[in-house]
Amino acid sequence: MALANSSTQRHPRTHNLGELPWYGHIIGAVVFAIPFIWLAVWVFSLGFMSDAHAMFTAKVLLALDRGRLEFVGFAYPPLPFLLTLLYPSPLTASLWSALAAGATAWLLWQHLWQNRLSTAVNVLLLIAMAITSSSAYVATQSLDEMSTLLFFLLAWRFFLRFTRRRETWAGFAAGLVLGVGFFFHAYALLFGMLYALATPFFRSVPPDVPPRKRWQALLTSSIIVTFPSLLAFATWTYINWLFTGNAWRFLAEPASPVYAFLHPVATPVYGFVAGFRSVVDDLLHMPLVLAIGVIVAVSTPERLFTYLIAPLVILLVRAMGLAYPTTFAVGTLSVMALAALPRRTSARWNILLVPAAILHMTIGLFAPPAQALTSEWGMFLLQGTPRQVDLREQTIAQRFRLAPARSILADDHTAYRFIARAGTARPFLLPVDPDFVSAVQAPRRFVRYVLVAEQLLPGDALAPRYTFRAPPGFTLDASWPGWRLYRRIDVPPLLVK
Amino acid sequence: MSWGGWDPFNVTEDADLGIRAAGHGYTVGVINSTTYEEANNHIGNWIRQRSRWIKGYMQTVLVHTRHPVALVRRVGWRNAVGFALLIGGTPLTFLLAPPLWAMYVVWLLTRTHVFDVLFPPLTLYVSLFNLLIGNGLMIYLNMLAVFKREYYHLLPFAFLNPLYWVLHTIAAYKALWQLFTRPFYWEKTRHGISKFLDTTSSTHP
Repeated sequence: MALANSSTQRHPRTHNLGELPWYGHIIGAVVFAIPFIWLAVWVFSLGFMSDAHAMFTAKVLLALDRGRLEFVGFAYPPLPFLLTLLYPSPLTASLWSALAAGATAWLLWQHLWQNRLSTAVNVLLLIAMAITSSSAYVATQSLDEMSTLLFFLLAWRFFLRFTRRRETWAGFAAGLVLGVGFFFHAYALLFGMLYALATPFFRSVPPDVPPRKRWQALLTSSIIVTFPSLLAFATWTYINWLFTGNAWRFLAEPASPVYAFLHPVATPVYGFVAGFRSVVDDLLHMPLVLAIGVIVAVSTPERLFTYLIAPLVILLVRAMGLAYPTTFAVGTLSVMALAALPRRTSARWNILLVPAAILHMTIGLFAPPAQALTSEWGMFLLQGTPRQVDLREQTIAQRFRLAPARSILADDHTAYRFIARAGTARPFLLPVDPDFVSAVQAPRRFVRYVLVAEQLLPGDALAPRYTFRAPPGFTLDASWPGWRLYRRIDVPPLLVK
Repeated sequence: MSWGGWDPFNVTEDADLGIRAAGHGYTVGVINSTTYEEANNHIGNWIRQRSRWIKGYMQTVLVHTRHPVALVRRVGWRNAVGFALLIGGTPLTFLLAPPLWAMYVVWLLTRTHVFDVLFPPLTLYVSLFNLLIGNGLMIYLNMLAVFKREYYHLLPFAFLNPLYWVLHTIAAYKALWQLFTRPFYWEKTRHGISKFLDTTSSTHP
């Protein structure tokens, strides 16, 4: 009987990858990161640069040029900025992101290794989740989001040890990991709450414990898991209030995709119905996530609610009008789904998992969610040629680089891509500079050129004033989609055709 | 004892013995065990006990740093630095807390820049880290301690950790006063208090 079963239902692998020495995990993460590193370098060589990585790079260049680290330190999220500080380039952020993606894939592989599916099917599941254009974007172009997913997964492993094996230190570690995660992305706080909500479904309490103490145990478990991320949130709001007078300022940073209306890659939706539609639309583009949901519902129905918490969180976030970009949603749901695949999943589920994985890859590559960013990025990956917009931006930035110090008045709420592409913040007079406010009032006294975005974004000091008319004493030097460059009438043109 | 015993005038003989042991090449460690000694749960009694401990730290650091170079030679620079930071830094931290709190309150109310000179960027960032992350971690560690022992009902009291520092400061100033007025006086700690406070155990043995 045992022999008959063995052909269809493999026994779990005897060795546990989680018990490897620390250097084994480092090697595993780096090996799994190789495809992402290759993609990051290839994409960079084609001139592509995400908004998030441009923002991180621009802030770092600004801090280095002005010699004040606090420009980086109090920008949010701080840890991606500090990681980019090692070598200020969008490629640095992409490489860190690729390493985080490799570590995430390695952790997921460790989990898959313990199920009863064949190695080939497990490889297919991992590749199917990683190879979609949205996942590739998060893995190489979004250091903050990718790091958050890594921390989310790492915390999940500690969380399981905390709740199932009742190892107190693991609860401490899970909480701390989520707390550190907040310094990569504000939504780590939501994940902390997600874990707190999941605690009663996972925490094992001995049956002889009285009901009152049982509830106390569950409640305090939730607090242990959530406290560090709440502390991190309180810490950062305090710092913002202390240094800027506005406790919530960090949520409106261009690199903080919380306010949908501020975030260029997020499609703002308001209200429960619109939010629900957007989440359903995302899920319909991820058949593998739905298939794993079916397996969870059949194999461990008591955990189904936990499986639904992540989509519910995304729904709530969007319903409130906050941003949860599709790329990040796809990454979150993919990681969550693979991490939730029950260990007892047997080969009989191949009939569902294999077609779902193939369909998942096909949709993810050729028919990603109909959103501007995912469509553009998907097309870019498939075509494999530099985009005109990147080439133009690069050419203009190189001209800016040659301009005298502080000669271009710009606002890095919008102009960060040019700063990142120029590789220096030296030519720009920016909001952190003492003369900025005066220069906005009377540019002629302070600068030679004024760079203005045509789109009115909150926080931009120049666009409301100079989008439709040149500053006194200036003339239009050049314009291209989304931008205008004004030149003081007594100086030579900066952009030569 | 081959180390020459301990200083009978020191009111924290353990701290004194620790640095003497280091001077003879020994390492003092902590055993992972449970201490069944009664926890001090009366504020006045607690302050008396802590004032003795803090005064002992002051005595120890004053005595053993009379010849700093000799101390470094005797225990090594790492032990000497650790000794200065732990045994010397603990009372100093508690003593410096009130002026720092006062400065913070004044700044909060007036937003004055008078104190800026005392807080260059690096000092400011380290102070901020200690204030926010340091205090948070202490609260978290206390939470964890009661959680591990399944004293779940005590978890909210972890949030009172900052008040704990206030009590320490009171004890530190009392210790400083006694260092000059009654340097060798041994503040007695009353034991057995919890037995009288715990009505459940006393009425229903």
